[in-house]
Amino acid sequence: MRHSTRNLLLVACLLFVFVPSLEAAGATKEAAEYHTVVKLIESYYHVKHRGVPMLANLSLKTAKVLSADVRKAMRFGDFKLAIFEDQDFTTRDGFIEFHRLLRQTLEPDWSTLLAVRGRDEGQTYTFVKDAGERYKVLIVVIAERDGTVLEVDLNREEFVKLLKDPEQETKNINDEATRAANEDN
Amino acid sequence: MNNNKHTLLKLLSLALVICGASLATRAQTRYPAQLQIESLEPLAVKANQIVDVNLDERLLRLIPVGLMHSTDPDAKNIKEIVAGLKGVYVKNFEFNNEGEYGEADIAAIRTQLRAPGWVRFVNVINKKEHKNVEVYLMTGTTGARVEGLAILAAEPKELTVVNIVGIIDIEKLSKLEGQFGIPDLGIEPDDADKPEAKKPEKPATATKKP
Repeated sequence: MRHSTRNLLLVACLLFVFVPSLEAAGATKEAAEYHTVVKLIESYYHVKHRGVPMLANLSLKTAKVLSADVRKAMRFGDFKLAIFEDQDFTTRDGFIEFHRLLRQTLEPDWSTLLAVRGRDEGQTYTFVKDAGERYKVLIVVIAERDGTVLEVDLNREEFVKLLKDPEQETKNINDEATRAANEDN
Repeated sequence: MNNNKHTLLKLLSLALVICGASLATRAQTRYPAQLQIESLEPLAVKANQIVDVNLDERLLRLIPVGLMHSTDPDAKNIKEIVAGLKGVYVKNFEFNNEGEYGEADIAAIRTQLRAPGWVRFVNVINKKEHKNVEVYLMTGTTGARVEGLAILAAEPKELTVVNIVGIIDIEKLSKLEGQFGIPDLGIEPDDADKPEAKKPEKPATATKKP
């Protein structure tokens, strides 16, 4: 009997150690989420890249690679950006379904801060999550002819700005990153 | 042999309990003042644009404590507003034409607002602009404090539902407008509308604004 109690305690301890480490394993999955979102857009809207440099190692034909100088000049240190230029996003009038698919693609620890779904104005989605010292923000913008997928890390002050005015700050961040990408090329 | 089986079963049960408890702590709590705002989702097919802003408890907690202790008046404002809040949810629909939505479309929200604890605090009717803003409060069991708030703003071509969950100082309501995705609805409760501290709120009578 004493032996089984010891076993029970041992298993309990192991579980307390393993449950968080299982979550850590999930963190590696999170790195692929950005690329999965890009792929979702490509497959859902049947859109393709055009004339944009490749990130060969990630097989992402839509992503522009920004120089270190440009990234340093911006308020967010590092970011990933995929740009869809001159594509037709009007082929499917299914923003309700797309929103659902997008949400399914992302892990539950991403919170949907903002979702703007418009028939004329296009769609904008902002997802956020805590990443320790900084905050991860994933912005998906789909207009009639263009689209972007942007992942940035924000510091505390910038993150609070985003929470205070999600719609305007989402636009500001996305514009800033897109402008930097265009100037860099 | 039987003893081993028994021990194994115990171990499995314990494992399930621990995993379950671990997942449960991560699940989002649903507070009584939290409306099922997603019940309005069927209206999305009729709308020209839908805007959702969701600041759940997890997100509100992300607002850095360091910044909340700052002496900056703006940061102090955030601290005041955020303290006690459990969630801020906004859903806005814009329609191309008048009459594209009706009472039936918002019935699901009205039903929730008839639940115990909710009282209509103020109803602002602007006949000129055909605008109707209703503010509902959820009070605690003693009625001494506001634990949730809902705003239903209906215009001919626009519908906005705001749901603020948590302890709210009603005097700060106007400060929240334009913050955290809450649109500026022009709500400024005058002294007559303010519920007195430590007294249960009375159901509101319709207040008209020019």
